Amino acid sequence: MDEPPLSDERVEIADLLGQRRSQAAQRFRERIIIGSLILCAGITITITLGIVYILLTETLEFFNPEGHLDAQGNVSVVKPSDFFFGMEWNPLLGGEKHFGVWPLVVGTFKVAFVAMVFALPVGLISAIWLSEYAKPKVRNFIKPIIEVLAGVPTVVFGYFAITFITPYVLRWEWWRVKIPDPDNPGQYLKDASGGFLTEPAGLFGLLEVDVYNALGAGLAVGIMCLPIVISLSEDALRAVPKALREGSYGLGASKFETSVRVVVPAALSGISAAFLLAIARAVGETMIVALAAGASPVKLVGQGSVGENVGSAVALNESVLPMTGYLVKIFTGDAAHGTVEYYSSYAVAATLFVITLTLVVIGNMIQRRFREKYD
Amino acid sequence: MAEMTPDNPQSVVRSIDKRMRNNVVFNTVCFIATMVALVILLVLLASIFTQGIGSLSLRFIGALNSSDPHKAGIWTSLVGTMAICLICAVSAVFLGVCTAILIEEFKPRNRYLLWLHGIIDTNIRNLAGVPSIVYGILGVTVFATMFYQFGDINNGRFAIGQTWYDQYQGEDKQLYYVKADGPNAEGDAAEQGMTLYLPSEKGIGIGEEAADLIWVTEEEIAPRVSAIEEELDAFEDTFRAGITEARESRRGPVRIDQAGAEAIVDAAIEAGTWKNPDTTALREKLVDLVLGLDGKKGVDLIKARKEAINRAVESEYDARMENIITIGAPPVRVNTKAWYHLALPFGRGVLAGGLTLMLVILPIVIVASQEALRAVPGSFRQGALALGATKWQSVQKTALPAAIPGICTGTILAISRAIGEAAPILVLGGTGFITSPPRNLMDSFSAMPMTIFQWTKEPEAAFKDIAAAGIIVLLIVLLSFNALAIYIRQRSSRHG
Repeated sequence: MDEPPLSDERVEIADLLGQRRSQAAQRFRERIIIGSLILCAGITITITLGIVYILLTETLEFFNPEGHLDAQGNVSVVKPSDFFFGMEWNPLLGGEKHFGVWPLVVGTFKVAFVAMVFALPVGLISAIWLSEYAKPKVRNFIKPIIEVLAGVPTVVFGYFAITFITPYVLRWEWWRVKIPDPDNPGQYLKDASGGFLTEPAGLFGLLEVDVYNALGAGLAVGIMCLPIVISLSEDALRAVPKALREGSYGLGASKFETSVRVVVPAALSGISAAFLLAIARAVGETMIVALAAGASPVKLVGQGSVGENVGSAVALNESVLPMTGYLVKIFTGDAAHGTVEYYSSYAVAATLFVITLTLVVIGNMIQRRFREKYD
Repeated sequence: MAEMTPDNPQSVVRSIDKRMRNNVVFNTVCFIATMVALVILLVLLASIFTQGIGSLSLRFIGALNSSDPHKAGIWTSLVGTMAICLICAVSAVFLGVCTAILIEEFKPRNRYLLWLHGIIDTNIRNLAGVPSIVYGILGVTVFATMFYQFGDINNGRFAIGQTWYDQYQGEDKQLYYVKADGPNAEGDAAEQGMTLYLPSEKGIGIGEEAADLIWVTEEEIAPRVSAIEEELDAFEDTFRAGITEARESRRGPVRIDQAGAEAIVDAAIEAGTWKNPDTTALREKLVDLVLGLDGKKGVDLIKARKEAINRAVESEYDARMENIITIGAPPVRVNTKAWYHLALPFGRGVLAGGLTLMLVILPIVIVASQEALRAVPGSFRQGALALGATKWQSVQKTALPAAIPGICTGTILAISRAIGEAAPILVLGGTGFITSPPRNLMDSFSAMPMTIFQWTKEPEAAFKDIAAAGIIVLLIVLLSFNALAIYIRQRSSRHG
């Protein structure tokens, strides 16, 4: 501290002079910074294009008319029409291979359907309560909890599905009865270890589910999607201007009527955007279905009667293989590079990408439009 | 039915009653729906907590992964998760914040560039909705295999951070090392009098120079073995007799306990001619082997007995062959890898994993940073520009500092998403069973969500319990990240 400190004034003048002198250097520095910013943005854009490019080229390679080796060493040729309109999917088993994508798509939408039947109504109604009815104090308490639910990793929901939902909810003992022994009246059938065999009682027969099933996985996916639906819908409802509500009250409407007839219709675009984004999440969900949904593709053809085919297409209690489940199966297995199974995963991934991206793009488009309306 | 007209006030009153009742009913339904969400969260946490708390211990957190559920721990994947998330965070924050600054602060004036700008802005938002498994596939193709342009992914080209050694084995199984030039050239066969080095303290590597080496030719080895076998004949006979004694009625299965096993082994060792004075280690191994014979008969017994005798010969052989090396023994080329070891392609290692996760969270980081920058009032920038600052200076000195808390919050939430993300890691890492934490950038790894997935998949119930314990650890890590984000948000709002 030998030098006397400069006064503020002198510092400013020195700064100014310094800046003048180095203006060219400053301009050069700025060019470099902006250049590197553009480089970073370029990398980000390359990633976007990279996804499309890779999915596209590898999918085209899958449809290569010269065919590919399969796991057994045979050459199989897959035509695009076989893939996009095919009703049978069995690439891994021996014998004749079929690469029709519909069984996987149906499997995905079975799970997503269950999830949405649960998450959309419950989520929307919760959002209405939080936005219209709940006192600010209660809302400030509940919203963070829902945010915590949104931050739970999906593998946890998968674990919950397989260790709780399926065994303790869908296969609950209270819903099951002992089976009477037809040979000995008054006795019940037992299994090898001496425990009683059970079957679901009465109407709960509909809930006779396998260990891996679309219903349990779907419910878990629904629970996962619930916070998304709640917070996006609540944002949409709260964006509706207060004047609309006050006008409704002024005309003598009750809170219920205002919520359902005025606020919800006014926020409809935002709510539908929330729904679309939630559906996209459900369709793309991987870990839950990899754990809880099972591994057998839906059988859409070849089971005798039409009724049976339709039955297996809509059955929720059986194991299903959704698109994401197939991708996990291929990439965690040993599908060697260059085989037809390896390339089929890219075609499935491309299908998944197109479906989810369409949902997301439409959702974001709707969301932006409604935001502009009230801003 | 009374009509609802102004002339009939009675009906209006009744209708208001009905409407108010509807309101109350609806309020109740809404409340129940909200509670459903909360109750499910509670049940989820409670079921996982009750199942996992029994297995959760300091041992579990510090132990490596194992195929035995009672020995397995989360440490392997905890380190793996930290490693990939560090790489992911550094790369995603750098790329994401730079991209957000460019998009938000440097809007182009040119019409075509503006059009491009709009497309990019929209697309980034859409990318956030792409399923993470698609990013996983992208990561495998781009980072792990690099389109198979560099050949085998387990043996990459342009490697750095590797040190190569020729490894020679002495007759007593002691390993010696000599530094080698690279992976490809053939190592020299062992020559009489060449300088060999003992392993360094870390295992593979050059340690002290090996002294007092004795060089023998291959022809000299075989007679030495047969000499040992001859000298151990008495051992073998006594041992065999002891086992036969222990058999039920001399033909049935062996019946043996700890004391009996020790007696047999001691008698046999006593009878043998040992040049190695220390037989403690050998005795322990043999007692274990003999105990394992309990209940065995027939071929199993013969096999096990043979193994015990071989073990004794081997132990004595190693003791007598100290410092002896066969001339002409071919070396094995081995290597050590520094933490920065890199090669192309990246393979299914930590670096590829971190970059793949970066792909997943990049859109989230960009959108969060954009929103933070957008929330800074335009007057800040205008003030700076009016004072003569350049465009970049106004961003650097006004907009960016004001947006930092928002960027931090968004980034931390994005990283906590990356910590919990399993699908891309699963696609990248496959089902590899990893027990040790990663040691270098290209080492294979396991992350916590992936380990939890693998444990949950196991049919054994004990694995389900440790999966729950793993989930508890994962949730604690995530909660502490979220708490950090909330803390930053609150501190910045208090100051700002």
